[in-house]
Amino acid sequence: MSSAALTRIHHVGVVVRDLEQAYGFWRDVLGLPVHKVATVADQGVRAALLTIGGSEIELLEPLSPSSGIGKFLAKRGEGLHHICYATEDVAAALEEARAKGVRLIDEKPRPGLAGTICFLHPASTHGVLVEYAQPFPDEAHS
Amino acid sequence: MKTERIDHVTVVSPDAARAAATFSRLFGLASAPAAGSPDATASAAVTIGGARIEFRTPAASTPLEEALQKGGEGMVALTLEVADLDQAAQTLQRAGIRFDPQTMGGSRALLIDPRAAHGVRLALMARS
Repeated sequence: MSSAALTRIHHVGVVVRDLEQAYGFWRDVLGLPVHKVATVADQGVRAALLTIGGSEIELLEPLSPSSGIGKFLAKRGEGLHHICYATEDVAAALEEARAKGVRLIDEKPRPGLAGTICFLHPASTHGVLVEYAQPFPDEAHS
Repeated sequence: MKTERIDHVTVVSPDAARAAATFSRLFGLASAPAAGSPDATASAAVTIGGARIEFRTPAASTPLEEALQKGGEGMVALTLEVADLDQAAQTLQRAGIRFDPQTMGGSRALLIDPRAAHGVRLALMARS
């Protein structure tokens, strides 16, 4: 298997209005532990990763209505936002996608909450917003 | 509640087979048996790390068709595996969360009121 292979669902992203309020369901009812919380200012988002098996649920709260997540929330309401695959080599995986003619959102990998990441455009993937993540070494799941 | 893993993500598409083939080709994912659903006329799936991405073409006049018309092609539902479905039902009841018991691909499942699950059409199932 090449290092660019997509090995598992790293996380599924869910847009919520308010992280603290969302914990009441995802953490307290479903029992998913909060693994990491961070503010990603340049993306206009506060995000939490909750562990489920070898994957995570990523809750995304917009910092402002004008952020990408804020606009999604205004247009579509709370709900499923994207799916992220884990890879050992995000740069190689991105090059493979480019070579296959996939329209890209990120032309090169960048740091994100889940590791070094990039997004593909949903126009190439049946309306599904897809992210690739190469987890930071100290945070890799098995 | 002990929630163990993501079982599958559901994608609604006018052409489930074609969407699954796209995901196989672009992402190198093997095809897998689809659980199917009464509200779909066609289903296909790919597998990744023990989870599946399941594609469904909606039947007429179903909530799935409504989701396609309203939101377009894309992700519409998430199914998680729990250790004990009866215990999960009790936990939901205690929390005052509405749900519908259903059968999904031969397994019992609980469909949670999306208003409680932050807009996500969320199902819980236990491995049969």
